[in-house]
Amino acid sequence: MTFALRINGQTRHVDAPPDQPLLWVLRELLGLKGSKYGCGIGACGACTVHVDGQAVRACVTPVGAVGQASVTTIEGLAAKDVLHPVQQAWIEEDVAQCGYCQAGQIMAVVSLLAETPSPTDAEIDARLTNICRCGTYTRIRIAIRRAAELIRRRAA
Amino acid sequence: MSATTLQTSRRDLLKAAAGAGALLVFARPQAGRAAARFVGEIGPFVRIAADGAVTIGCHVGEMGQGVSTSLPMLIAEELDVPFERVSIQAMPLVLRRNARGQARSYLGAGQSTAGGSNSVRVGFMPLRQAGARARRMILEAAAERWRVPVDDLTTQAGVVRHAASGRTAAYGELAGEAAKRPEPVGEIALKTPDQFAIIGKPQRHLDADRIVRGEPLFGIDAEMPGMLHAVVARCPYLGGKLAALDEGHALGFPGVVAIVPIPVAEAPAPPLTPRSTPLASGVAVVATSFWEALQARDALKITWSRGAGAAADESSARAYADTWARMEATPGDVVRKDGDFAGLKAPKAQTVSARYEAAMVAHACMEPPNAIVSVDPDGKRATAILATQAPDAAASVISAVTGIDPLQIDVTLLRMGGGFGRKFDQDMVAEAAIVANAVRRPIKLVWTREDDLQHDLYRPGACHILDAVVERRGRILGWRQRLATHSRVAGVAGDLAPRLTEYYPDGFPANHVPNMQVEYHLLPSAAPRGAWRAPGHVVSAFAIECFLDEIAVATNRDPVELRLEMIGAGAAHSYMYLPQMPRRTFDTRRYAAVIRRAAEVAGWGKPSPKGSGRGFAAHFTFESYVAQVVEVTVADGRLRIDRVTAAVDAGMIINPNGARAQIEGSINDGLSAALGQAITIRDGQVEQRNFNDYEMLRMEGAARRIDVSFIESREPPEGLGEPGVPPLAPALANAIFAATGVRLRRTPMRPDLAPVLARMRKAPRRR
Repeated sequence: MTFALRINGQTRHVDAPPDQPLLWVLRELLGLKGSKYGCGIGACGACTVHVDGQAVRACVTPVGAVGQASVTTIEGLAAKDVLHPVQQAWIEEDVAQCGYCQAGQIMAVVSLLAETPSPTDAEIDARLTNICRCGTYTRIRIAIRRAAELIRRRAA
Repeated sequence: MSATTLQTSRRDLLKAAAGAGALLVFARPQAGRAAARFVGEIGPFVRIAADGAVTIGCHVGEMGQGVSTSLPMLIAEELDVPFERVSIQAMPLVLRRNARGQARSYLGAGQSTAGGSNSVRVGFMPLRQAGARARRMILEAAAERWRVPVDDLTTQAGVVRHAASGRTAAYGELAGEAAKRPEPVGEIALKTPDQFAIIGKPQRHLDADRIVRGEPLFGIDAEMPGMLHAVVARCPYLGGKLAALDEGHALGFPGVVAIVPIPVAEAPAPPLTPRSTPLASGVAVVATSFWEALQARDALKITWSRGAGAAADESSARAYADTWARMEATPGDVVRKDGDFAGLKAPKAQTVSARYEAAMVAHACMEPPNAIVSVDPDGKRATAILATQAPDAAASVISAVTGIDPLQIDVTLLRMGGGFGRKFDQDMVAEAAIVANAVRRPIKLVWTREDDLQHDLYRPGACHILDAVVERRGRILGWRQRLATHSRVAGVAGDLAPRLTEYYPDGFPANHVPNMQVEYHLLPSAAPRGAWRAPGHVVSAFAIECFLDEIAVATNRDPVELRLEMIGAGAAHSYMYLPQMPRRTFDTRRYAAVIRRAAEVAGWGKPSPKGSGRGFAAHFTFESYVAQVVEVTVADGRLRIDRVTAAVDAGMIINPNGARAQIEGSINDGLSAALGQAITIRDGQVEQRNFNDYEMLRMEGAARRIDVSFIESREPPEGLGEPGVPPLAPALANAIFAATGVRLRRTPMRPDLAPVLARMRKAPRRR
């Protein structure tokens, strides 16, 4: 089937079976490799993208279910040279080790901060369920605070 | 069977290719990022553009351990350029034949291999020499241009100066001439530590910007023109084999191009590792996309046969139970004997005994195993794009599979999404090479998470029985340790004794207990095993450091004071790492120093609030000394890790920021393995399949705060990727005991912890 997907502000046409996960459409058909495969069952969050602003796990989202919704991937997060405050905070706190899960972590945090601009530790724990085997969680928590501050400053 | 199937599938491949029409066969596929490949100009590691921009090559694979920042820092220091002006590129594997005719990376055997926390330790002198040679070439170019003696020239921050005439030239102006000069031979005088401008100054990870933008940096992101995708159906039974396959059925699926068997007999024995690469019997499905290959693989009609003998219905529950019984009933292989534990007569002393158990665990790198391999149509050359810790071994494996001379194998190294020892082994590369050799098309072979957890090379599990004879005031007179482990090498003919990879006989408390006896038994399993971050150390430290805490509690001593008293004045002890490798030094004075530092920084000894507790542990791993204090709170039916404090002596620290990141990550990784992770075997198969039944740490379980304190040192740098892990599990168990009074003696702890948490939730709160 042919789908006209709205991805990072552009319309992209792909030919795929409707049950093919969005992740593999992004990675294999559209060459957007920033969203990562980690588990294929929606358990690790390495594939997190935004569908109409909501964080979803692309590995369990059939492409046929996306419809006209607007998809944002990590590649579409920065406005050209200006990084998103969450990306900026990730660099400033030097969060990444291997870096594989970080695109998914960043997309999950962008969605979290959009809904909850000053999350408590408990809210972070409940909402951020992505896995990082390198164990960067302690820096991620610090970077979330910094990102929240950067967002507030940009808005001011 | 294999030859027939192979011929059939190659015929079918040609048929499919002809039918598809659109498929192109490239004669000599190039790596996807061929244009960006690093070639050194001023020596092998350095390029300087006319505008002064410096590019430094990194020859070791980056897997999150930070070598792509720390190793170039060593070169930049002696090159004498500002690090802000440096960009880094991964170097392709460059093999040369050594005097014995072996193909090795040019810095010497194993130097491109990341393992044993060795990259900074081993690279410290050679990479500084490489930087110094490049600087010398620039100086010689200036000397020739100005017709002055080279010794009259100095450099500062990328500028050459001739003091007498006041002339200066930026490196960029001299780079072209420098590149034409022969590389100097012999040792060059290096900077002294007080002259360091880059070493010891914190640097951020140089690829951070590309990572947060989601750039395709990883092995799994790479492509080759004309590439096909392969997914392998592997025998789910340990040691089992493919019995029958309905190949026609699989070839009928959309996009499927070929079916290639992976016969176990083709598993090569790479000469650089002490064991052969275990390979599961299986069938590769080759298709035009990963998704199509996966759909077809999951629909394959395959009959598997079970493994032979004990593997056929292996059960880890049974194997552990039998082993505990055997350890009690029969003496083991004596690994260490000091004094006479059996003949010890101390009527007034008490005996403290405990048993500790550890399950197998999997690596679960976030990037699952993958490899891209292409074999030229004439079978004379191969190209590979790999996310591997051991590119030398990868080239050997591709050579063993294809018969191609290793010097005709082109290996591009890409970033690994985690390694942790998993990507040291080459089973994924062997599979890709077998498939690429059969179809003679570039093959990208990717493992699913289920493939990864079901066919990992697991970290060995263990059983330890400890007995100590202790005087009333805590002086340990006798220490007997009976242990059984799975082994990384057991069952491989002509190999090391298994105990030598899973237990370090010179580790603490050896040399600090007068009567010591250690006996080793094998814990049997047919599951393949491999190196998992701080191999052998994590499980041994758990048993030893928990037991020291139990001795302290039994004798009413402070666990930190007890350890320091055992060490006394301390001394430099000879330490066997592996029998074939040079002995190392375990200096218990440095060990005592990290123990004191961790206690001091953590505020050890201050009272904890009710429901909270502190635990202590230390360990010596790969010549680095680490002590940790874990602080936990058990409340509302949950365990919270409030704070972990680490004191580390790893000699001179190259990049304090990266070093701290390694210890922080090790702490959370240690928590992850200690609390939740277990690989169990039932009915001859691994039970766990994905992250729904293999419990990894998430945000809520991570340490809320981590403090890392490095001992200031001018000793040569040691490794930091692994030594932070071993003290964590025992410090955690000791902290949980302090908080709850309950001793957890098994990893993972979660199953034993759950009833404790439930009970404490129900218990009425005391006022």
